[in-house]
Amino acid sequence: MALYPSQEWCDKWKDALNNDPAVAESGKNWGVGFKGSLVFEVSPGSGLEKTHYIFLDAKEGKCLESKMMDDAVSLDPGFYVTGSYGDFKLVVKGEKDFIEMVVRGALKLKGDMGKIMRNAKFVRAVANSISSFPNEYLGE
Amino acid sequence: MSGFMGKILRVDLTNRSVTEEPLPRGDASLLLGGCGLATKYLYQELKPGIEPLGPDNKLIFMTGPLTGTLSPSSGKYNAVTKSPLTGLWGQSGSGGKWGRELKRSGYDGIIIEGISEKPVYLIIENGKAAFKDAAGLWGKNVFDTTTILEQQLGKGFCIACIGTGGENLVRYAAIMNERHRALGRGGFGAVMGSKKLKAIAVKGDLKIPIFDQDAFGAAAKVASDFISESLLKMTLEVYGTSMVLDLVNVKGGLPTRNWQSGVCTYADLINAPSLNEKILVGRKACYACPIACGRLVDIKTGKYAIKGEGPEYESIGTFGSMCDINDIEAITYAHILCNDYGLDTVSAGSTIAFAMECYEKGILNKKNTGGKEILFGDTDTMVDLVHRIASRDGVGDLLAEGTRRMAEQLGGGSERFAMNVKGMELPAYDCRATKITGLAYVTANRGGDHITAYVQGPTFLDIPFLIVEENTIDDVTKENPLEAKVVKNMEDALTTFDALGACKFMGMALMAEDIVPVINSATGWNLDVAGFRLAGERIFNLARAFNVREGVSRKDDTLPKRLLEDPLPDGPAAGLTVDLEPLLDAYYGYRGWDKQTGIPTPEKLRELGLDFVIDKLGE
Ligand code: SF4
Repeated sequence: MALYPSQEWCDKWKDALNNDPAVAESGKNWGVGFKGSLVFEVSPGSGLEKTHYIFLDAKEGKCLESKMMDDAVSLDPGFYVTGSYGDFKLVVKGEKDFIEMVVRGALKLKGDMGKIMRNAKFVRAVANSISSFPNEYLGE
Repeated sequence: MSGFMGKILRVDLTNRSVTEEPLPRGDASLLLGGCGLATKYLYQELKPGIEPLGPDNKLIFMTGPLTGTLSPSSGKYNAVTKSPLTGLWGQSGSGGKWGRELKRSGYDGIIIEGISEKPVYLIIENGKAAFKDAAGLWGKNVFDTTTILEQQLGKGFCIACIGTGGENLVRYAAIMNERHRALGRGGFGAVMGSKKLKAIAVKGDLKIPIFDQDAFGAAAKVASDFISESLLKMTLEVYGTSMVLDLVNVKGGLPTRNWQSGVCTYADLINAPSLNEKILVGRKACYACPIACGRLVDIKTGKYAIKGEGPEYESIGTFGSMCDINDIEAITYAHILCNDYGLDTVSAGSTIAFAMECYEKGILNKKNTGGKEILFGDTDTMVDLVHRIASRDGVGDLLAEGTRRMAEQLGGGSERFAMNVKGMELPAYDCRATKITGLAYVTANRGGDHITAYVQGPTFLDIPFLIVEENTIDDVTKENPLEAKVVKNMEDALTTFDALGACKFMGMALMAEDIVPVINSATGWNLDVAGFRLAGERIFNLARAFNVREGVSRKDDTLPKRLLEDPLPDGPAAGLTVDLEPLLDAYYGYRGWDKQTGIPTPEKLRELGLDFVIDKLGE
């Protein structure tokens, strides 16, 4: 089991994404003509001591890169998601739906929302894949 | 003419006559239909200064070229009148299936004029219209009236009717179709009540002519697929419109205790997940809508046991946080009661919240309430006031007049927190938290309203409307005059939806490039994207011209003092007020209106093909 967050976990997420037919099918147009990369900025609490960043790059239904970073200064992603470790954990565990968390304002999603509007199935497939493999968590 | 049935039905209630008129084709191609075409009739046929509840007012129902077709979410129809709440241009749209049935009965619209001596209702079926005696229906509410007419008339009839709210001329009474769909805002129910018209039953199976069936089918499918795949469907279907409640609250803009705060501490008790968990039993769609944002609810036990279509966000905001009520069952009960009485939930909830604050400040007291305490957070009082408003019983008679007239009557500085613009009660978004929402409230032609421009998309929800070019907001807490253009753009694009007979929510997921081929293949027009937007701008200016003729100018485009002068006391927007004037200056500039007066210039009106109003504005 990989520890969330860790590079090992990021690698597993990349594998899960690239083996998920729902991601491939719904993401056909993702990243075409726009930047399909996302940064997740996870703030401390619930066992996490300092802010961490996960960079995910995806295009045409494929995950190109998934890596853990100490800062996001050098990055210029298409989309940016912020939230607390406690709230991200709920999504990673599959206890809460990513879109519900965004709609409730617990997670904040910034970027060209028009692209999210038109590619919502892909966003949901990416979010679902997070909880498709077992993990360990800080603070538990 | 493709996309239209080609006929308008004129109903004279005074003389009990019905006549058919040809659809004015030239006007239809300029103003599309729906609220556009209806506003042209209203402008031309109403003398300025007439009494909204008198015989000279008209009530005009109009479908659009997409109503009743297979274009997605095309069950919408519009109505216009002179509003008894604002005294200005009144406009409202409703969904369900009534619009489709009206159109398929052979008429693009109905113009209702005069006043009947006795209560009547109207039956329209496949090119025939007849009056029927409504003596037995008068005094009944919406659900009973609908059930009785459905039973009497047989299967397939769609009923739009008023309840006792409309009969009693509550200034914000609604016309309800299919029990829970409303021509809600502005007092259409009171106008219908003043005319002694109880209901309009429609049914039809006539074919709507489509210019190029194959191209139309293909374009409508593309649009429908975009919607089916969209975040809009994913969220609205699951959570309904109340999905926005948390997003508004986290920005500190959920009006609480009649806008004394923008932070509601019990939002998780009244938000969409709470509604879903506690009372939701199903979802309901309007005609041809892939989304189904309607909520079917069932409260099985307790004093608020009730069944029906549940509250939208606005009902939760007005009966919930504005009245400081944390009980989703009580909110739902009040909402469904309003549907049965035929009352606009936004104005009803806001007016009750206003009364609660008046009581808190001693402006209302047991002497002028008939011995009644009206306290924030008191669910039973809230529900009791809904009953009293509908019947104009006791203090309900005062509340039935709406917040502007109440404040005029009560005085004591209450106009400062009578939360209306031009007499129309504001919806549940505090514009001190997102500034251009305030601009949209003051420029909406029907008065303080959220769906004329729906700027809450890019402001509170961070979701722009794809239908509108340039509608991102940099910092919602700042007054940026350049962003006044967003309000104009959104007003124009969404007004076009009201003219087409399509749901405005589609504007979130569809680009103008997606909807224009649908319109052209239905009608045979050669509209382009610029023409699509220009049509909305033309209609918007025509409605403004109606209001100007009634005396509206820049002085009326303003907010309640509370929003201009009293900073929000707490939450993320603490310390903020709205500095409206720089936004208004910029807005008038983008509109091509005179900056001193807020009146459309002759050049702008000429450019829009509205030459016929220029002289009238001069007068
Ligand atoms: S989105 Fe909702 S209001 Fe609009 S047409 Fe569909 S069901 Fe009706």
